[in-house]
Amino acid sequence: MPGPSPLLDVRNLVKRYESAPREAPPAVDDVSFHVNAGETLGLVGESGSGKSTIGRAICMLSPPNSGSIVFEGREISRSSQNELQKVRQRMQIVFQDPFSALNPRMRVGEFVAEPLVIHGRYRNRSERRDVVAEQFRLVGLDPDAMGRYPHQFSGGQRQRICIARALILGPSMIVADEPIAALDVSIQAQIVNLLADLQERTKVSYIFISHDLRMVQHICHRVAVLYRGRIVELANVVDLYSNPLHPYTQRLLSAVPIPDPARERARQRSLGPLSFGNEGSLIEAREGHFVRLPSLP
Amino acid sequence: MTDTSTQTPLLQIRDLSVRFRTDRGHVHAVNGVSYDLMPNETLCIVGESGSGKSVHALSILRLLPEPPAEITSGRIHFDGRELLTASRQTMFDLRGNGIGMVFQNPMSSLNPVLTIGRQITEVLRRHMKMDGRAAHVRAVELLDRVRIPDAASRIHSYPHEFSGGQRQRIMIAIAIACNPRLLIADEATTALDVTTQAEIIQLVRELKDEKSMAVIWITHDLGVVAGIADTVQVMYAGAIVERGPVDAIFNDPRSAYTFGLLNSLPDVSDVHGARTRLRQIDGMPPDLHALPAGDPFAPRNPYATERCFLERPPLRQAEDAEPGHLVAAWYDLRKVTRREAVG
Repeated sequence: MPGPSPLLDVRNLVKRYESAPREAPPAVDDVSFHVNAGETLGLVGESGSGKSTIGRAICMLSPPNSGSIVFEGREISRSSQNELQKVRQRMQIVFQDPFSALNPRMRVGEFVAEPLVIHGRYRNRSERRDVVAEQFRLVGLDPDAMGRYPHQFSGGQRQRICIARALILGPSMIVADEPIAALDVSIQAQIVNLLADLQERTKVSYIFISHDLRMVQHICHRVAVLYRGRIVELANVVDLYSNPLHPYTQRLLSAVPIPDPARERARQRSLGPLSFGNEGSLIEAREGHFVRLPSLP
Repeated sequence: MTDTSTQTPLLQIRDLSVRFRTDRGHVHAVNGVSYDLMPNETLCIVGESGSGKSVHALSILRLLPEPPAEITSGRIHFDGRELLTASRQTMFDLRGNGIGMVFQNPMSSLNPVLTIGRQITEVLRRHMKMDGRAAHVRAVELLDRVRIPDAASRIHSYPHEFSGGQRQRIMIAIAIACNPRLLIADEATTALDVTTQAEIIQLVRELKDEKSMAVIWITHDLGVVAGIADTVQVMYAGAIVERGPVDAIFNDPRSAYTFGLLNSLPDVSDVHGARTRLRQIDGMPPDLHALPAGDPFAPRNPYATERCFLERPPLRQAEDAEPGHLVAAWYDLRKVTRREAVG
């Protein structure tokens, strides 16, 4: 591919859970994509599509069975623990549930500072404190709250704390796995705006894993649609939403409820018990718009 | 929409207040809620966690654990009966016959060690006094109606043998088994995939017409509301802040909270990927331990007036709005947003 090499290049990723029956297809089956610097790639699909498994595999929280993950020019899927430590300074993950991600007995300031301690940065206490305070401000929290405990914060504030920690080592990539799904509607927009602002400032890349297709349309540059462990369509967000090519993508988008009563009443949905093949190969139907040709019956 | 002018309400709630006792004092979960629900009406109740939407529904069914919950005031009149003073037996009968319920997580509502056939027939035998054979036949019909494929043989399966969407269909089959006049669905599709959600909503729409049921659909998803509601009721901090016909609420919102919620959603008609900032609502939902004297949304409301901080606004007919479009606000949203658009 011409141009600068991508920040992350994933090739032929396969992840099979040991607990799954032998004959079951892998949770992630031959998935390839890339993410450029400063870009947001959306991974969408329904439960069991493999979207979260991909996120965890890329972060090596649940290493893949095969395939290659090249991040900042380095193959990381066969890295030693030592090398992974270095990778983790550059790639972080934010989870759905900010309630279970935080240690209830640790002051939130310490929680945010912990990566600095682990990676031996800013050994001077007061210097470290300043860095953490700056991080609090960056995510819209009052640095005076650093000494408090997680239960003293709301869900949205806790997600801000998790984002502050994820960003403190200056990563180039954040995998955000359903980061707003557990938050109230009035708080979701705050977090999505925060992620967008942080990207503008730091040029961080996101892999945004979500079942909320409206929010994905809003925040992502490109989107990959997953179905039963495979990418069935991958395109620029505008192309994907205005001209979906795969029947599964079409079905998915037609199911998304639109907050407009007149449009909802006029809508014809293509629903019904449908199943699609995910065999065949991904072809480039238009420039940058890839679709897996459905297998013929 | 149904003509509601001449009918008697199926459900009448007046001045309902519910609080919970906690270590930190009382949580005021529902604060003076009053409304009518007409037969065949679909009412969507919108709100976020702590808005009181679920607690108020559980009080209709008398399913709140008392204590720690305590219904401190109110009347709930359903189909000719007063529920807050009803006996346990009356409530038990009513939950089978009069009001069907569907909750977010079907797995916790179904008994994992009984076949689904057993769980449906039990309801039919107990509440409809059917014998075993008739109940079995009816149970297969019900499963078939909610589109469980191969119902006659799947009736012998256990809950874990079904997908999440199918389990929710089974819950709906149980809820409608005794032809209730009211179906209450509390975040019934929230845990489901979007295509499954669309199918369940379609199913409930059909059943509502077939069975002439009223529906109370509790959700935080305004897209779902747009698709099914006749009437929308927006709740915040345990109170109704706005209520009205669905089109009026979406096209002419009068509460700054409703307006803020609608504005904070990404614009899906924008296919150009503009990636503009979302118009977020700042701040956080209020602490229900210590509600302010005034409008609980005032601290987050850019249009709040001085009075909003001092005195709680009553829910009343909005000016120059459709009849039945009610709002609890001291400010006039149309004026302040118009001024904003001009300035």
